[in-house]
Amino acid sequence: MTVTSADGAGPVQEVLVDDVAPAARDRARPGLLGWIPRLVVWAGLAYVVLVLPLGRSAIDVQTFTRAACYAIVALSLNVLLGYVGQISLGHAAFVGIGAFMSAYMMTVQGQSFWVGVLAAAGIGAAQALVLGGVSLRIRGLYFALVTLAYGLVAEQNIFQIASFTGGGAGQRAPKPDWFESEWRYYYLCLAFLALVLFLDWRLMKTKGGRALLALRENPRVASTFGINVRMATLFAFVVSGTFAGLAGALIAHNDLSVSADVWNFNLSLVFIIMTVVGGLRSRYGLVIGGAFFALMPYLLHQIPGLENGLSKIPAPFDLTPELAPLVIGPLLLLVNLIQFPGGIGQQVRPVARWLGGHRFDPHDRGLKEVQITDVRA
Amino acid sequence: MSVLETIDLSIRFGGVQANRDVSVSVGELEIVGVIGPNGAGKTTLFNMITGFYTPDTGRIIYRGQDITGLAVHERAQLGLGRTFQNVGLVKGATVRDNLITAQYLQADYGLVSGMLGSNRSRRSERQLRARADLLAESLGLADLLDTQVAGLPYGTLKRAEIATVLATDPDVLLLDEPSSGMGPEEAHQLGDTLLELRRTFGLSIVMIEHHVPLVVRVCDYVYCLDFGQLLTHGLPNDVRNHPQVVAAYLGEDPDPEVLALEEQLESLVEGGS
Repeated sequence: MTVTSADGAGPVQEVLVDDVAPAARDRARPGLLGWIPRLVVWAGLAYVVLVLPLGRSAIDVQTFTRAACYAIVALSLNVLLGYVGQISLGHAAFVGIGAFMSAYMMTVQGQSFWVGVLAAAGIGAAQALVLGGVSLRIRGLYFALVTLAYGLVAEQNIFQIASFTGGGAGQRAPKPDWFESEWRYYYLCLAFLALVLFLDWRLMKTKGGRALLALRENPRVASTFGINVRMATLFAFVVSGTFAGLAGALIAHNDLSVSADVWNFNLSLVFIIMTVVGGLRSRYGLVIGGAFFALMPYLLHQIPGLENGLSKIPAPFDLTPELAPLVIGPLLLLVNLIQFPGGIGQQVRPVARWLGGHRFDPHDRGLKEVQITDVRA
Repeated sequence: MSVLETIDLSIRFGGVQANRDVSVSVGELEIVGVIGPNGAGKTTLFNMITGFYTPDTGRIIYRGQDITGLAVHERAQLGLGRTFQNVGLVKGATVRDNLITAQYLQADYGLVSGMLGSNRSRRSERQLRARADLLAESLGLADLLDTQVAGLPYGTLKRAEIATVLATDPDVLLLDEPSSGMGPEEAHQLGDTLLELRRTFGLSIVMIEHHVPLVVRVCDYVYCLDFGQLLTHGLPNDVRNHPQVVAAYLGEDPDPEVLALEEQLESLVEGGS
C-alpha cells in the first residue's frame, strides 16, 4: 500500500494517495514477517503478566495485584496532572477514602463487594467534585496547597472516625466471592485496570479529552470553541476521583484490611512521583510507572544480601526496601526534569509504537515542545 | 436588520478608558472593518463582543438577543467565532486535532457516552474527522493535517486559525488582524478567501485590519477607532481619505509652539558642539 513518489506518473499516483485514508497513509503496515517478532514480544508480555504469577506464592501475587492497583492510581492522577494540568498533593486521601468506603460497605453494612466498589468510586467522584470546584478559583501551586491540606484533614479527621475506619485495628475488607484466592483476585484487578485503560483511551479519543487538552494549554481559545471550561474541568476531576476511589477499593480488598496510617502524605508523594516518572499522557508509561513503584520493595527484596547490607549502614532510622520509592523516586524525578520530560513513556514509546505495527523509530519520542513545560506547579 | 450590534459600549481599565460609547453594527453577510492606530481599543472591543470582558456600560445585541451577560462559550454556541491576534490554536496538537477539537459543539454525544465508546460517539467522530479534512482542503491545508501547529510559519498559522474557527460553525466571524505576518501577495489571496468564505458559509465578518488595500477591497463598511472612541465610520474609501483618520494614523500637523521649541533645542545643541 506504500505510495512512492515516482516522477512522471503524477496524476495516477495522486488519485491513489487521495483514496487511501489518512490514517493508513502514515502507518506502513508490516507484512506477515513483520508481525512474527511483534507477536513473540506480545506473547512474552502476556506470559509475564498473565502466566508468571501462577507459579508464585500468595504473598508475591498480592504485590502484583498492588501493582495493577497503583497503575490505576497513576492513570487517575494523570487525568488531573496530565490532562487538566492541576497537581493534587492529597491523592492518598482520595484513594484511602475509597478503600475505607468499600471496606465499610462490606464489613459494616453487609453489602456485596460490587456495591462496595461502586460506593468507593462514587465517593471518590464526590470528593473530586468538591476539590474541582475549588480548582476553578485557584490554580497551580495554590491549588496544590489546598489538596495538601485536604489530605492532612482526611488523615487527621476522616480516617480517625472509628465507626467508618474501624479505629486502630483498621477495617476488615474480605475478598469477594469467587475471587477469594490471591490469583483470581489478581486477574479481577487486571480486568479493572483494562477497564480504566479503555475508559481513558475513549476519553482521549472523544470530545471530552480534546476539550481538556485544549483548555490546559489555552482556556481562552478553548472557550471560543464553545467548550464550557468549568464543566470540562469538573468532569475531569470526577473521572479522576472515580478512578482513585476504585483503586482504593481494590487495594483494600487485596490487603484484606485497611488501616488509617497508610494514607499519608508520603503516599501522596509516591503517587505523584510514579505518575510523572511513568510519563504524563502516556498510557503504557503510566502503567509501567505505577507498577514499578508498587513492585520496587519487592524487587529490592530479590537482591540477595541487600537487606543485611542496609541494616549495617548507620542511619537515624531503619533503612528498609519499603523506603525505596521515596529515595529512588525523587532521583528518577530529577532525571525526568533534566533529561526526559516524558518519563518512562517517552523511553518506551519507540518499542510501544513498534508493537502497535509501526516502523521502529528510536528517535520517536512523541514529545511536543509545548508539552515539556508541564511539570510546572 | 443587523446581525450583531453594540450599543454605547464603554470599559475602563484603571485610568485608561479603553472604549467609550462604541456603537457598531454588522449587517447580514456584511464584511465590516475595524481600523485604528495601535492602542485604539480594537481588540478590547472584540473582547467585549466575544465575552472575555464585561463592558462597564452598554449592550451587545446578537440577532435581537441581548448577549451582554453571556459567557464566552455560550456566545460561541450562538454562532460567534473569533480569531486571536497571537493565534488561537492548540499549539501542541496537529492541525487535524485542532480542527476536530473546534467542532466540540458539533459532536452530538455526551461526555460519558463518548468514554463508554457508544456507537453514536463513534459515528459522530467519523463525521467530525471528515469535516476537518474538508475544511483543511478548502483552506489549502490538506498537506499539513498531521503537522503539529507549533512550528508552522505565521501566515500558515493564521490560515489554520481561520479554518479552525470555521469548524466551530459560526454565523459571525470576528477576525483579529487576519493578515498580520503575511506579505502583500498572501494578503491579497486572503481577501479572495474571505470573500469566498462569506459566500460558501453565509458569514458576516468583522475584522480588525491594518492592511489598507485589503480593507478597501473586501470591506463593505469601516469603523475607525482612536483612543477608544469612534472617530468616524462609512464606506472604506471615504474613511480612508477622511482627514481625521489620516491624522490619527500619521499624527497631527505639528504644533507651531513645539516646532519653535525644537528649533531652539537644535540651536542649543549646535552651539554646544
